Amino acid sequence: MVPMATIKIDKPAPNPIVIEDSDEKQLIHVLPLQNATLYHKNNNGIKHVIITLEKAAKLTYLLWQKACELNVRYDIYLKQDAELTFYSMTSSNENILMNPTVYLQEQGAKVQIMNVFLALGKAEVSCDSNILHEQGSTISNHESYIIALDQAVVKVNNNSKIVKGAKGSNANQVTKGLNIGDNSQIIADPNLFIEEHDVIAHHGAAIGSLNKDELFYLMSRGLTEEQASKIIIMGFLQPLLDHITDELTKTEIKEDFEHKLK
Amino acid sequence: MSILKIKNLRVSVEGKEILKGIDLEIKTGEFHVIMGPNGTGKSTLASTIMGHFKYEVTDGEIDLDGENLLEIPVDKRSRKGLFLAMQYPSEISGVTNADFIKTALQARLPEGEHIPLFKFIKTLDKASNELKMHSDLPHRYVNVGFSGGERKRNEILQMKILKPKFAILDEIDSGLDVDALRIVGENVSSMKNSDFGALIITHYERLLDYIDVDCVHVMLDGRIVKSGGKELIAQIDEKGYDWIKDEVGLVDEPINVIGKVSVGTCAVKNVLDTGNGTNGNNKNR
Repeated sequence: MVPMATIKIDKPAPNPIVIEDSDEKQLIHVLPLQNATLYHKNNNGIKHVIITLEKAAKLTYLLWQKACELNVRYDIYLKQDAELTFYSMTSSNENILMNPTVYLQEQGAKVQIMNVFLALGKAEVSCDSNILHEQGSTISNHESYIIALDQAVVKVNNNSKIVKGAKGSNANQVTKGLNIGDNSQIIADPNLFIEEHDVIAHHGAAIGSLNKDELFYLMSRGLTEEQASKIIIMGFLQPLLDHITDELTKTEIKEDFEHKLK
Repeated sequence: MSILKIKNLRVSVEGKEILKGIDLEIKTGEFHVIMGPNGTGKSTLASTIMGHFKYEVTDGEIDLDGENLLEIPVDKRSRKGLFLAMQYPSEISGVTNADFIKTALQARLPEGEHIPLFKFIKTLDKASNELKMHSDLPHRYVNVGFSGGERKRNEILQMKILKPKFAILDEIDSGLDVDALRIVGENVSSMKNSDFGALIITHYERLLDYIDVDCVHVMLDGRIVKSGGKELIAQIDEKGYDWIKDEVGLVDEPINVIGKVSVGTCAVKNVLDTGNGTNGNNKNR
C-alpha cells in the first residue's frame, strides 16, 4: 500500500486548493506561521480557504491553531465519492471565528468534521460549522469537543442540512463540552435542517463540568486536585488526538494542550 | 507500627445520619473485617475514612498515627498511607492504567525525584502476573471497558504497587467469580506484614477463606454492635444477622416501597427511603 502523501504547509498555499480525481492527500496547516501568510484575505480581513475534492478524491485536512487570533472561512466542495476528513485543533486565549462550510455536491460524497477547542483566558470562540447534503447517498459526521477555562466563552453552532430529494443521506452530530472555568461559558446549538423524509439523522449535545467521582478516584491515589483535573481533561482529549496520524504534529498538539492546562 | 484510630465517628448525608458513633482501631500487621447486611453504613465508613466529598462528618475523629485525617484532603490522606479499593471504581478515559499508576507513584516522591522506568515496568508486570491479569490491561484506559472482575483486580493491582500503610477494601469480592475471588484473596493475604494493615468490608465469608483475619466486627444501623475473632464469620454464615439483632435489641422498620429514592451507597439509599436516620427497609435482603 502506498502511504498517503502528507503536506505540512509552512508557506503561502495555493487558493483554491484542488485535489484531483482519485488523488489522496493529507494537509496540515499550522498557525501561526513564521514569515508566511497562508490565506488570501478578502476586503473584510476574513481569511478564506477554498478546497475542491474532485471525483473519488480523498483529503485529510488538519488545522492546528495555537495562540493567535483567527477569523477564517472555509468553503469545501465534494464531488462524487469524494471523502474529506477535517480536523481543527484550536488552543488559544485569543478570539477565534471559524466558519467552515462543506458542500456534498454529488452522490457518495462523505465528510467527517471534528472541531476541538481549548479556550482560555478571556477568549471568545465562535464556530459556525455547516454541512449541506445537496445530493442523495451523502454522509456526514459532525463532531465538536470543547473545553472552556477561566473566563472563556465558546459558541458552537453546528448546522447539517439535507435538501429535498437527497434520499438515503445520513447526518450525524455530536457536541461534548467541559465547562470548568470560574466564569467560562459553552453555548452549543446542534441544528438539523431536514427537508427529505428518506434519511437518517442524529444530533445531541452534552455539556458538563468535571466529574466529582472521577476526581475523588484519582485523588484517592495521591494526585492533587490540579493533577487529577488535568488527567481528566487530557483523557477527554486523548481519544481525539489519536485520530491524528502525523506523530510529530500529534505530540506538538498534546504538549501544547498539557502546557496550557498547567 | 502505624495505627488508624476512629473515635465516635458520626456521619450524615443530606442531613440524615448514617454512621452513629463508630469506634475502631487498626494497627499495621492486622486485618480487620466489617460484616453486616445491606444498608448499615459499611461503604459510608470506607468512603468517609478516605474523605469522599459527599459525606459530612458531624462528630468524632479519624487519626493516623496521631494526625487528624479529617483536616487534610483526599490526596494527602492517600500519600500518608491510606488506600481505598472501591466497590465501583470510576472509568478514566484517555489515560492508560500504566500511566495512571506511574503518576500516582510519582506523586509520592519528593520533588525532583523520578521513578526509574525499567524498575516500574518490572514491578507492574510482576504485580499484573500475580493477579493473572490480561497482558493488555495495564495499557488500556483506566477501567474503561473492564468487566466487574477486571476492575476489582485493577484495584488490587494499584494497592500492590502503591504499598499503603492501610487499605480499606470495600466489597472487593462482589462481582468476582470463584477463581478471581481466590486470586484476589491470595494477593491481599500475601500483603500482610508489619507495615500493612487492612479493613475488609464484605457481606460474605467466602473471600475470608483465603485471608487470615485478626478481628471481625458486625455493623448494624450505623454502629459496630459486635466484635470478635474468626469464629464470628462461621456463625454469621450459618445463622445470618438476626441473632445479633436480637442480642442487641434492634428491630427492623416496616417496609415502605412507595416513593423510593435510589442514589448513593446502600446506607444512603435506606436513609432516603425511610425518611429517617434509624433502620433501613431492606435489612434482610
